[in-house]
Amino acid sequence: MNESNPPDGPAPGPFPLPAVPATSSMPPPVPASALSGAASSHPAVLSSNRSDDDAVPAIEVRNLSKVFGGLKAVDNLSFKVMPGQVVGFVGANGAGKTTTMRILASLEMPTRGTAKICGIDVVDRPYEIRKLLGWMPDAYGTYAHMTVVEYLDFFARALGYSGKECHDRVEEVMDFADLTPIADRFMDKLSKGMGQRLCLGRTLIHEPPVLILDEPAAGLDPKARVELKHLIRLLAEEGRTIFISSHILTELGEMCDSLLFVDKGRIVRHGTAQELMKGGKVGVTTYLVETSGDPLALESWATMAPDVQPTEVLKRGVRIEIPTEDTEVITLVLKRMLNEGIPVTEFRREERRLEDVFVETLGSLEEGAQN
Amino acid sequence: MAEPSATPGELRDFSHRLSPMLVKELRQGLRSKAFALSFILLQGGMIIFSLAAASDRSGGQGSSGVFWFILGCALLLVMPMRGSEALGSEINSGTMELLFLTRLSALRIAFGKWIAIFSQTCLLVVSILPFLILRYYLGGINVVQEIQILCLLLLASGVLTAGLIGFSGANHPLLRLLRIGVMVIGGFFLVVALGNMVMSFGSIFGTPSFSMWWVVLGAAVYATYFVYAFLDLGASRIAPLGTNHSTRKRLIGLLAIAVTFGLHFMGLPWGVGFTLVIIIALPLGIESLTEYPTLTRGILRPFTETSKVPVLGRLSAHLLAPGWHTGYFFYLLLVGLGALSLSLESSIDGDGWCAYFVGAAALAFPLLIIRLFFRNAPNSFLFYFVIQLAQFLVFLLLLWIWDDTSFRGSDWVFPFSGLFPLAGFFMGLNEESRWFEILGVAVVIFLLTTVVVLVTGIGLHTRMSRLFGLVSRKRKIETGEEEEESDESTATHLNS
Repeated sequence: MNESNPPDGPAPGPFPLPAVPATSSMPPPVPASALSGAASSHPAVLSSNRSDDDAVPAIEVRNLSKVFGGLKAVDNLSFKVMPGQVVGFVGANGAGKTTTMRILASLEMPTRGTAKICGIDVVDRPYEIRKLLGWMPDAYGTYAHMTVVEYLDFFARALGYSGKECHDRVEEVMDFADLTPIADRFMDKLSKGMGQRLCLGRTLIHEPPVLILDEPAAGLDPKARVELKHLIRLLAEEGRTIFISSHILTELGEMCDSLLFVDKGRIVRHGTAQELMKGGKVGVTTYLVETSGDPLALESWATMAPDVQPTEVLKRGVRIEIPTEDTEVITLVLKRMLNEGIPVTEFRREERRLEDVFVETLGSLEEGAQN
Repeated sequence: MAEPSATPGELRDFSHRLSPMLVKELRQGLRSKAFALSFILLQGGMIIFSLAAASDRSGGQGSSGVFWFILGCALLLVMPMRGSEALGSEINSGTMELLFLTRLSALRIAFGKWIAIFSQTCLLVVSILPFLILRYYLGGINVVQEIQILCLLLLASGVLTAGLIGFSGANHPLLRLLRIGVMVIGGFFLVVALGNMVMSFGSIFGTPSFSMWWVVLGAAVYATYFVYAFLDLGASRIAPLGTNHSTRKRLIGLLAIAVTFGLHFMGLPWGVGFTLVIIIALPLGIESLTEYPTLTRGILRPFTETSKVPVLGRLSAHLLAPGWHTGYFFYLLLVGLGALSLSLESSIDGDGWCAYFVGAAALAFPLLIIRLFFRNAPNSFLFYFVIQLAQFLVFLLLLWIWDDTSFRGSDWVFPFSGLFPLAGFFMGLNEESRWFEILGVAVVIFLLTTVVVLVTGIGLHTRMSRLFGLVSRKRKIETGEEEEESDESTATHLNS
């Protein structure tokens, strides 16, 4: 093995963006404005101010389907992620997230359709894909009787590094993921958070321009989640394309340029977190009303009152929806409440959360299916 | 366990000259309790043996049995068993896929695991050399002969380890059971083959004192093939879909058979030659019959790009590309080569030929059942053995009916067993004079399998031809001979 860069391997230096290969076959991307929001039969193109519309997509999925036996895990999925974007992939368990990610990582064969990383087909040239891709699975595997530094050294060498370059890569990754203090610790003695940091470190060894992270925050305590989120932010700032799935939507909303909601193997919504939170029930505002009295009495009043719809009874109050954003109407609702003698202690407008949008989306899909 | 104090700087040394997989496996293996325990037990056993041998009046000769028993247990049982979870443990801990995303191929992963265990086995052997020398001083032994036996034991240990690693990728409980069964049967054949070789190689080459080394050399050549074959079997079970393990495996298998034919013409007795051909062809044939047909442009491209005559390359793909639809024709080729090997024996009679073809039909029979009734079976390898097992149970039932006194005289059962070739095979052993009755039905089954495979596999062959068209079009586009019309037409991958 030579001491310089491995043949066809990644370029040296701290996480540089690679030259994106040009392909003549790439169709021009569809304007994002035309597609974001509700589900579309066209591929979802997720744009941000960081992306270049003329660039080859970092991830391109077209009419992708995967069938296991009789089960359609992925159903005609199409989307594009432009270089430098951070995209969240959101869905319930069994929605097809992991299968899609595994296909992108060339670990699973699609039944139909194509998936490309930086313009290279994952089925045609899986070995080339692996140089461009860092994949972090939902469960990181450990090796008994191996230390953190040995683990990273093994993967660095398995990825084609040797000698000083290998040593430098391992050191750089350990510094980045703050693994140096635990370098000599055996892997089976690591906490979940340390393990996830190590797994992320392994993912970065060959400086891949595209990262696919499957549930990286699953099972982490709040502190470890914050640390991991910080690392992902740093990677995004370096200009890497990050495709990430998670159940913790609030954090995804903060980290991601765009989000893809997927259900039963299909994209059901996509757009930025702001776009998605604005969408849904247009013109409906949600308020949290807290009372020192009986919340059930407040709920029965809300059921009878015009312009008010109770949605949830809480321990000290009720969450209500008012079908307008007109402040006069909202003030009138509050006045009526007080006039009825309801002891209101707090009346606060609630922003919609991504979780709500996601649940609403799934709910409306189910309703649509039933109708 | 004391934690090592290695720093990244220290990792640049010796280990970087070795394969990363070997280094990883050695790090894990040498730190494991299993190795430490087997090393200590072996040394303990050898010390006890030495003390016993020293007090034995007949010298070292009297205690030879104990010495070889202890060594045999360590080399043929303890060390190979360490390979039984080699690939399975990677799959279960979720690290196998991480390895695939490196530059390590599935075969290199399996080979790394094997070489690490084999190195530890060698380490054990080196550690007992002082005891071997001690035996020499105690008298009554031939050191050269013992070293030759030690070499053969080491080779057998390597093959057994590779076998267990090869089957360790199978996670299904039934396949785990099968793994043990195959290893017992395989071990039996291995011992027979090694024994035959020991008996026969000596007569082929040189003087008696020199010939044993030729035996060791011949055993090493075949052991190398079997180690490769087993490891590639494991590699093909763990490799991600879209990787071609069939072509290389089939070609190397054919080469091994060709070498055996060559040795036969150099004087290798027929018994050994035929046994070797069957041992090589049997797992290769079963593997070919049960392969999943993964057809992508990436897999088919080398057939046209590496061949100077693209048409020949395309044709060879219909015999060597992955999948049962090509595997069946490859199996027929193996049956033909086996028949050729059989024909080299002048004393072969009609019964022998019948037994051979009924056996061959019995092996192909499950494919007929799978193609007719279980076309969407998720794991045809497992299904194959389930059907073989079912055949065996039917055989027991037929044998019971046939042997039962109340059914005596109803010979209708006998030819009916031909519908279940394996059953027919066993029943034929009891009634050699009636082989031809079974053969008639078995030949029909053989022909029927061929027709069904042809009909159900025609779609896959057509897809291959279509993909070859796409490959050559893509190539022309890349070289600028043709302009691309639409990305869609070349975008779809066909995966049956």
